[in-house]
Amino acid sequence: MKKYFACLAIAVLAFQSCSDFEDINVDPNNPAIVPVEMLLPPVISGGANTMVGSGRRAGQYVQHLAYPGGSSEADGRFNLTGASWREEWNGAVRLIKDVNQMRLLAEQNNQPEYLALAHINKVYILSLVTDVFGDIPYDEAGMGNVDGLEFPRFQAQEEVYQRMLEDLEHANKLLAELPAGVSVSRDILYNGDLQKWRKFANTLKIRILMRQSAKKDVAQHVTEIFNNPNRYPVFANVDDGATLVYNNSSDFYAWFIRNPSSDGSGVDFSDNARVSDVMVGLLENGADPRLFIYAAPTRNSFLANASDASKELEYRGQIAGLSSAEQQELYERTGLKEGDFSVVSRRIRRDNRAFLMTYSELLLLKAEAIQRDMGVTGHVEEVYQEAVNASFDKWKQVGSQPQIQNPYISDSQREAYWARAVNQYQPEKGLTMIAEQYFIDSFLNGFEGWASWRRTGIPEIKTGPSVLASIPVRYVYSDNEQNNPSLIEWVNEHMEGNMPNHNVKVWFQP
Amino acid sequence: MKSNRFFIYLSWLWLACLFFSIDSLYAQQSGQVKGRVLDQEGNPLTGVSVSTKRNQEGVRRTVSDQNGVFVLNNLQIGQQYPIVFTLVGYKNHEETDYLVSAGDNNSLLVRLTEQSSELEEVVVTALGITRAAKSVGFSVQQVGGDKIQEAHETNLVNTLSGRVAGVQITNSSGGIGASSNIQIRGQNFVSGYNYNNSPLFVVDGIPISNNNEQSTRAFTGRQDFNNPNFTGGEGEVDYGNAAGEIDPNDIESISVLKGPNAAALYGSRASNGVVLITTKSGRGAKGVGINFNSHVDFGTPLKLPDYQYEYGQGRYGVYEYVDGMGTEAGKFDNIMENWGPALNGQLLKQWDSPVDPQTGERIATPFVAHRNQLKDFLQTAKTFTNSLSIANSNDKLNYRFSYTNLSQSGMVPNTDLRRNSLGVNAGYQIIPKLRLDVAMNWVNSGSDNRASYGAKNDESVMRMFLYMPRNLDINSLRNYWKPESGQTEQHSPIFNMNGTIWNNPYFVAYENLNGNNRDRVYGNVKATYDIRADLKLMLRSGRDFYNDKRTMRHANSSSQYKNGYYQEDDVYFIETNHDMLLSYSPKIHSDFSFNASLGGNLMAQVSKRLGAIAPRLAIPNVYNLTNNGEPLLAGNTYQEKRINSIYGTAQIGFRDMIYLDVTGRNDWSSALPKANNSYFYPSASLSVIASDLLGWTSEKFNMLKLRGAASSVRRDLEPYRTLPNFLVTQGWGGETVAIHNNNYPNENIRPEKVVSYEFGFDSRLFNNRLGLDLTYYNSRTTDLIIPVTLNPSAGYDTKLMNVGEMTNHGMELMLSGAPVRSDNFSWDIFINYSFNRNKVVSLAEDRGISRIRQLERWASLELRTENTKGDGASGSLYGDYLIYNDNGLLTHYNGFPQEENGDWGYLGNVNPKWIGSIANDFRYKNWNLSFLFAGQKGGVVHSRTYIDGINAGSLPESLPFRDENGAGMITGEGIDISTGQPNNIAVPVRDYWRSYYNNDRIATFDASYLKLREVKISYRLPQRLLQRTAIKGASVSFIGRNLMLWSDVPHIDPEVSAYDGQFVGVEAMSLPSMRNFGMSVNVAF
Repeated sequence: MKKYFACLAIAVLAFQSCSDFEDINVDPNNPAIVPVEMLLPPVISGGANTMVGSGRRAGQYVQHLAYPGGSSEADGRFNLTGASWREEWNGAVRLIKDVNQMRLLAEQNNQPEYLALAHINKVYILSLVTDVFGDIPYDEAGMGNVDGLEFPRFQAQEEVYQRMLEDLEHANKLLAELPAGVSVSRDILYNGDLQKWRKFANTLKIRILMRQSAKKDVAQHVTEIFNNPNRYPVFANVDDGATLVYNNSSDFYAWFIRNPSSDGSGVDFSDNARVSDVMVGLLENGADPRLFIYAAPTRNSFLANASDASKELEYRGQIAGLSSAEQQELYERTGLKEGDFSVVSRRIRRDNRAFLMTYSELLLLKAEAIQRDMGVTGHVEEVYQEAVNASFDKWKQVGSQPQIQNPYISDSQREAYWARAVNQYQPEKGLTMIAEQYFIDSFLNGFEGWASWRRTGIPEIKTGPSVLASIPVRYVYSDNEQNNPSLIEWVNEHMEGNMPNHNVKVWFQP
Repeated sequence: MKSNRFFIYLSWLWLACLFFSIDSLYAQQSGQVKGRVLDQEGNPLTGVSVSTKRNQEGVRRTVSDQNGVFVLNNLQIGQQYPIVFTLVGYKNHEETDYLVSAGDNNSLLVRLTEQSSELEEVVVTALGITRAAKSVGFSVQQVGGDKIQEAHETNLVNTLSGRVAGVQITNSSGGIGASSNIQIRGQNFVSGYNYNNSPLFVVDGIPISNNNEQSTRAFTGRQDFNNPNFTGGEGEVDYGNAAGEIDPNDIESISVLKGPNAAALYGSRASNGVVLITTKSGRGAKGVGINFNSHVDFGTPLKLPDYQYEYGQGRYGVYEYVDGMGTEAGKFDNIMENWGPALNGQLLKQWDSPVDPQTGERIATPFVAHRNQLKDFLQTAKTFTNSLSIANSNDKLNYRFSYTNLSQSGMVPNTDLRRNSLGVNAGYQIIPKLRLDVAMNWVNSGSDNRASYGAKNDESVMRMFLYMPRNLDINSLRNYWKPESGQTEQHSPIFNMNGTIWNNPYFVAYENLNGNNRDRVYGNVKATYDIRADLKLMLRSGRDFYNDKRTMRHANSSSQYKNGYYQEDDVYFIETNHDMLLSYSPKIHSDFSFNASLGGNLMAQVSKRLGAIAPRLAIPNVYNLTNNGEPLLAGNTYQEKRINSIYGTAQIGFRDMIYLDVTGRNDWSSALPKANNSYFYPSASLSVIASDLLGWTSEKFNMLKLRGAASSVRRDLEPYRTLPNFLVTQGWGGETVAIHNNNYPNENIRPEKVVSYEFGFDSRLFNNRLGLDLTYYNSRTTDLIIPVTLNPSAGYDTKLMNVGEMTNHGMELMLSGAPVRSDNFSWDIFINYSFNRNKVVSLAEDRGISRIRQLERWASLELRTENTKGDGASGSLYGDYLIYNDNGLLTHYNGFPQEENGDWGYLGNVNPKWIGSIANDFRYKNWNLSFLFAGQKGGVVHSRTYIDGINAGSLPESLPFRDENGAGMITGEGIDISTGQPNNIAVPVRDYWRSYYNNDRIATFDASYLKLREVKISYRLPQRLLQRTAIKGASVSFIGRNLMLWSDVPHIDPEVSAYDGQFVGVEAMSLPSMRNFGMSVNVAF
């Protein structure tokens, strides 16, 4: 008997000795620690994708783009709920957890350059979010891994902007103090040029300051930056601009570039997103060469021109906010057809670039600051002209293809533009001109065009006859966020318990 | 340790004394009776209890040995004794007044007959121990192998449907190789949803996988060890649940151990119950027995949507075919909608209208409805099963070889399934004390093409037909390549500028193939050594292994894959179990029986995936991973988990009337953090044969058994959920990048705990002609391991936590009756009825956690406690709904009904109020007729067919208010929210119905249904016909399955489970369930 029990005891001991399981439970495919630069591309492209996604949402509200009646009933006619902006919120705020990991890894490894990039990216991403959603969590965002922070605290937009300025200040300082020769890897935005990141941080500061300028006196801060280029370097030319070049057809501008058709047009005529009549109207008004960059010739005129070169190419914008029936009625009334409206042009599709922030945008903000006597030094006319030229310069000729093949803005077009009196800066309607240029330059950056319109009311846009509400001025918190107890508490304390809808202004808006 | 040893010695000493004293008392006047006990076939029966009792004298008792030999000692010569022979599974036999004479010539030959009465029924319980049903203190229900075989279901799990009280089976679709979902006594667990609530399947003592390994078009591998990766991508093809492919022909019996009580010995995976499968081993066969079974089966759809036949393609009553691309505005030739003109036979240019060769103009043809589009497309599914087995046994060796070939062609053209199962089961008594048993099964299954499913999938058959123009003649689609395209472009009537937006179903069926080939081997080797007559040691090693190679093709011009697509996915799974079991069953005392077992188990599970996608083909229709027009997407995963366990069980019986069982098990799981990785769970059960104990037993009152059980089971989780990590993936520009894992783990996670109890009774009345078995159970799960859904602002999708508490309680009732029982005719009725009520008692409200989203596909499956606008039960669906004001009026804005979809409302709970079934068996001479009804009451089903079908204008619900041309306006009844007045704005019919029907609540229906699950007629050839042939027995049977359905749910069979069976209660355009007719012939030589 004894020996059987002994056997059993041995067996039990054998089990015990196997009970050191730690090694088994470590995932062999996914590591606990990664080099910090591995996190950088998804964070940068995630932020850029958020912006790009706004092209057809906010970009539709501000009427950069318009959809033919019936094809985008929910958006174009403002039939909107928290589910409408689910991805705009979810995708962006979820990126912050990786920014936080970047920060932690950078601190652990003592890599201040990555710490600075973590700050800038956090600010960039969340500035897009707060601009459209208003009050958001900033300090505690993306920290659900920390016990007790599963439901991050919301902060007022004013406070969020303040915290952003502090973080950008910190980033500027970190980058300024870096020893020479330090670079970063896997930087898909600036290819490791930390000086450009520093300029981006300070330029972003200008954007954030000017955004709140209707609600808060920001003159001192704005002046401090513009007038101290050594301490606060900002974009100095078009190449400094934060431009992400998509390099893979599976990346994000796919919305525009997908399925290029075989008709030689280089565009997708079945694309429902048309250039709006507001944009086309503004460009045609000034005989602006950007028209041929933004808008493709209409399908019908393109095909006619292809068979008979004497037929003129036509450009026509789509009216926003029509119902399916109203669109039919429009076709019948005007004799126009579906193929008589312009889609986004081939140059944009081919370039596949996302403009996170442009030099032109900075100069227009500078012109505005000067025009508004904030204390910034400079001549507003010059700055204005430089700004518009900077916008043209985004579309310089690449390669040797003619304009018809790959549109660009030629020097003669530029000269012709400035030869027109209507395009000269006129101080009495300077702010309007600046805001209109802002609207034009931000084409496909829906967030920025819409934010500028919400701040200045320019350009004047009308809703279509068939809309269900007035033009949205806010994105509604994602339905996935609405049950966050911290949000519910915030809404109860600051908004009388009413979850804001898309017609409630955010704080920065006058 | 020392004191333990002391006790052991002491008890042995005591036992020895006991035996000695009994022996010495009666040594003097002894006579004895010797004899042998055999069964009806003449095989010796071991372990037969032989006893006698004469007035004033004590009980004499012995047990027959290996050869059936017994000796009863200490009998008085010249006296007459009643001698009683009992053996579990056999009828008691009594020799009345046996005269004991002097000398050695008292020899007795007894043949016992097998017990068929339910009263003495035996059941297989945990660890494969066969026990008298009456001694079991928890709920076990057994289904005989004949019932399983005769059902001829391709998926084994379906055969249990309606056969076992408290077991809910949901069949995902009528496609070949489709999955079935099985659940016993409701959902105890939350994480990973349904497959974590599947019972454990055990074949001959070895756990086997019932995983449902899914392949998604976005290859990400499996994230959850016990659960396929549902969230990583949309599944499109059902590859079946792993336990479904066990060959029914090999099954001797299936025992369902329902509660965690029954399962405490199998470890945490068995906390949802155990399906114990015992395979045929050839034991008891006499002479070479050959059995041949052939079955043929035809299947047709049980229920198809009712389409409307009044209006055709188009919009606002307008349609004319130009080029299918919508180039001419207002002709609506490129839209997938049936809101077009009335189908009155008027002449219209259509896609399939002939083209005048002279002018190139299309010649208008009559615009008429084609009524049988789907019926004409679908074929009769055919299944052929041939099965052969050879079995034999003698006193040392038993074996059984079996081979089954199954070949099936599905309802969808060009879909098929084949399965070859080879089984070997053999046992050999090497030396008298050592026995070796081997069971091995090899299953090769595969398909050239499985149909795809899904409400978002352009290749899902039901979806294609839901959008098909009602005026389209399906025959015009049969040549599915565009003639001039050189097989690079499909022939489809609906395009946009760049290609097809609606797939030709024939193109999908013949070009977009989803094939797989799967090899599976499972089995075990077992050695049993009889150390002493009462002490046995068993060592067993078993394995379940499969490797599934899958290929998915999408031809150029497929609507979702214009440039083609090719994916390969390799699925590998292996589980190894080593067991040791020491069983001790001493004969202690005549009144008390005792047995105990002590065992250990080592379990190791490894799962691997390797997959790659060519997202765009360089050369059309060449399916090769190196034919990639874009960088390959590839990935691999590896997961491993081990559990080591020791367990013990003991049973004490008193006079065959009271049985007490206790068990205990301790597990060490590799998936838990070190501090919490050891956990113990005990259980106890009691069975009391009250009728014997209280002396109530009579002709009319045969038995009353009371039973009760309690247990506490703990459960671990999938591996790699304790340490945070980064997912390394392909990112920007195809380069490697990392993101922090969206599902945040927990270093301090504790095992979940289910405490449950059950009690019930089993009674037999009127000569065993009426039986009633009732069980009430109650379970409480605490420390639920839940990947808590965080809000996006927290950054992580989920965070693993121990939160909340959930309870289940319910009742199971089994009623059996034999209204008529005579030699030639008998009628038996069996009724199963059960209900389960679940309650989410709490989550972690104090930490802000009041809702947990488990799964969302339109409707969202969420856990909400009662105070969060939920019903506080698991299985509840939430979704958007139309807004009615306080007076019950529908609110409108600009003429359109208003819908709430920010804060979702309660739609209903998918779990039925109760489920039940009634089976009737009639036997007349050699004829047998049986039928089985099964159904459920309550529960809801959410139908995507309903919403999409009305949106597309294809279902009759979309007809009202359309005018004679197909246009028309509606002024919706209700109130205008901007004016507060009744709505007076008229909007087009199409637009109105599309907003009215586009919400989740309107498509959620009461899922109550009744099905005629099975009808079977069989005829056994009379023995006298076969006397002079080599045939020992032959029978012919006809069987129909799922013949009729009664339900109020429009268009669909409410018994659905979306995707591959994981989302019970949601219908997402799976293939309709099947109605089968079959015939089989069974011949035994």
